[in-house]
Amino acid sequence: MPAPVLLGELRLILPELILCGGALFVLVYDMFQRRERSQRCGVLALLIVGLAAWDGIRLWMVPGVWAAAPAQTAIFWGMLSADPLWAFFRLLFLAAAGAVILMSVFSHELWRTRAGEYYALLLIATASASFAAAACNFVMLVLAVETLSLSAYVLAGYLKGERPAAEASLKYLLFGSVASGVMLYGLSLLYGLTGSLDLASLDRIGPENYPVFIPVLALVLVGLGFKTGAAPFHFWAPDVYQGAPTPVTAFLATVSKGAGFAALIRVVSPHFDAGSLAPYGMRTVDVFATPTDLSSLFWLLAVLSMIVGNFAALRQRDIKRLLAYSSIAHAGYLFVPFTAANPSGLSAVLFYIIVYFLATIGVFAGVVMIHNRTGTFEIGRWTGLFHRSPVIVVGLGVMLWSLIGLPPTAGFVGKWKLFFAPVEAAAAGPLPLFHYSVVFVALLTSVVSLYYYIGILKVMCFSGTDDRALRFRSGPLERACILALALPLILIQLQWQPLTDATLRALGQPVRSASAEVAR
Amino acid sequence: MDHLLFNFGLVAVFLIVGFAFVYGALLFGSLLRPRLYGRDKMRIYECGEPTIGSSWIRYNIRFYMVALVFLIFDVEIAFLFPVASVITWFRDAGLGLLAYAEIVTFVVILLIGFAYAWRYGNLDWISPEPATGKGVKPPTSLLVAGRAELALAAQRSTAAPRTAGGEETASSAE
Repeated sequence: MPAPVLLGELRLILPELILCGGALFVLVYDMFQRRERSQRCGVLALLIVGLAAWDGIRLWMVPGVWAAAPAQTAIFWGMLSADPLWAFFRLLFLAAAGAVILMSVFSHELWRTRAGEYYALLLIATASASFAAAACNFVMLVLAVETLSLSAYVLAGYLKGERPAAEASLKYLLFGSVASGVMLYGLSLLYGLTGSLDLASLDRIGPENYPVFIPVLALVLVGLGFKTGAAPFHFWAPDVYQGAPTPVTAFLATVSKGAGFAALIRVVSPHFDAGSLAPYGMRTVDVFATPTDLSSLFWLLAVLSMIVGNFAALRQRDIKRLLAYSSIAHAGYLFVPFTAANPSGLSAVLFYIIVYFLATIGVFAGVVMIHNRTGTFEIGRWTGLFHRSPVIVVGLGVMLWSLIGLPPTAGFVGKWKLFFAPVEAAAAGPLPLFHYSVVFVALLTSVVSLYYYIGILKVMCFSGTDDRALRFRSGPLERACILALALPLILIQLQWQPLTDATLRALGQPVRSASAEVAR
Repeated sequence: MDHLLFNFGLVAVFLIVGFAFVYGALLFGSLLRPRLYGRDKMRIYECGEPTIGSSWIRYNIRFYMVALVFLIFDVEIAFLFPVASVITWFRDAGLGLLAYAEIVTFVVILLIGFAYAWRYGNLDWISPEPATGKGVKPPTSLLVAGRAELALAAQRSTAAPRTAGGEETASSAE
């Protein structure tokens, strides 16, 4: 009798239920509001996210929920996997969504629109991002990713009267539907190979089918590569990031991208033993170890994303376009450990996702604040902001410093962990050149990124004051928000062990002692 | 399952034969047929009727609105039938209330969608009231609009000014 089991399992998806129910409530609430009061929906949405996060924290803290073996964590007849990894990503997405909602409330771009549907879509998108991080069935994966995408298409074009917004929405829709079409095609072939939609069924593919299996997985990677904004599938990013309202851009750069990586981790992480993804000439029984295997695909994605993102960003004058290319580059950095396929690399990915979320949300919050006053996204016109509001500029500087990956910030630790994974694999495995090359490209392009990030700071600090900047004066709340996002980046650099432990716990790996971590 | 590559080979044979059949026939026909082009022959074929106007007209968005609202009820019916067919099984198992609660939840969600369309005037065909209330009214149904009005509307939409921050145009966003 499945039904009583199902009722108990509803308890495990309570945060998502709160989000979905909250979205409907916001929608109905807005129906009975006068237009001037529509913005109250933002506060309501913030409360709903807070409520969901409260329950999400409970699900993260309670150890008994996922003490069972991996096979027993599957709920709803093997659709979702109620494990720490899900709890980890859920909290991350809820935190980011809360920040995005706060940004939306204060953003001048959205003041005159009706807010009910905006926040309803944002809540639904967050819930589906969380489901994407939990899916252990391909149908559930597609459903979650598509719900996320459909909400995002509408959100990207939310400023209806504006042409760039319409362009963003249409472009996003067209690219997204082609990408998910290709992914669905790959999944249908995968179903033909295994006869099952379970993610675990990938293990059952025999060696005689490898020549088909790898191209099929490449097709699946197209869909996830689109979501993560990796390089051959990145063409939508600059225009969508520019045309969408800034809070939505922040949402796309964090939650949407994070959901892509979460789904990717779901698909490949069971095969992340030392060397099992290793490329070229390691013919073992493992599905990923074939001559043209998945590591090489990840290598390609990582290298292309880092080069395209960082070099294209050099020429950008619009801050949102620049951040779009920067987010493509960061997708590349996050793909680096996937080439090594060792467990420590996976925890590095989770670690860097946290750091990246903090820094990106912070930068976008700064962009919203500056745009509210100056009315422009052009970096060249942000001259002399340092003299008007040093706190905001210093906060923004910390976040950009972290995105570069320079020492006094968490970005340094994150990147160090990311790039250390292939080095580790190179030391242990038979293919040092394969691993060292990706690290080499990563380090080189990080140096390139220094130029355009510092360029923003240079304009704000060392150029003369523009008359637009004269109107700028930050409020205490704004200063508090920026500092609240900038300080953790410094604190993580001072003491990153708790965060590392959290990522290890999310992955179900044994938590190492603090002294061992420092010794590394 | 063992020789899946071989099965793909069969598919490839079908593809090759299919392509050869179609393009072979087209090629064969192009070699044989006479080439006589005239004004009448190059006209658009529209079921034998003379064509009227350009096919590049803009449809009224409300057609799509109505289609979406129809979809609400369509989906509702499509999903209620399977439930209706197994509801007796649930009742006999003593879970009738659970099944009922589930389907009520489903219908309520759909009804919220319907209420949303109703509240924002997507069901009013005749007089669409702009949500902002102020400023220009949208042009009346483009399907019945005269040629001059069509041109005017097209001109208006292409010549819409874009401001730097977009704050001015945002007022006419809805």
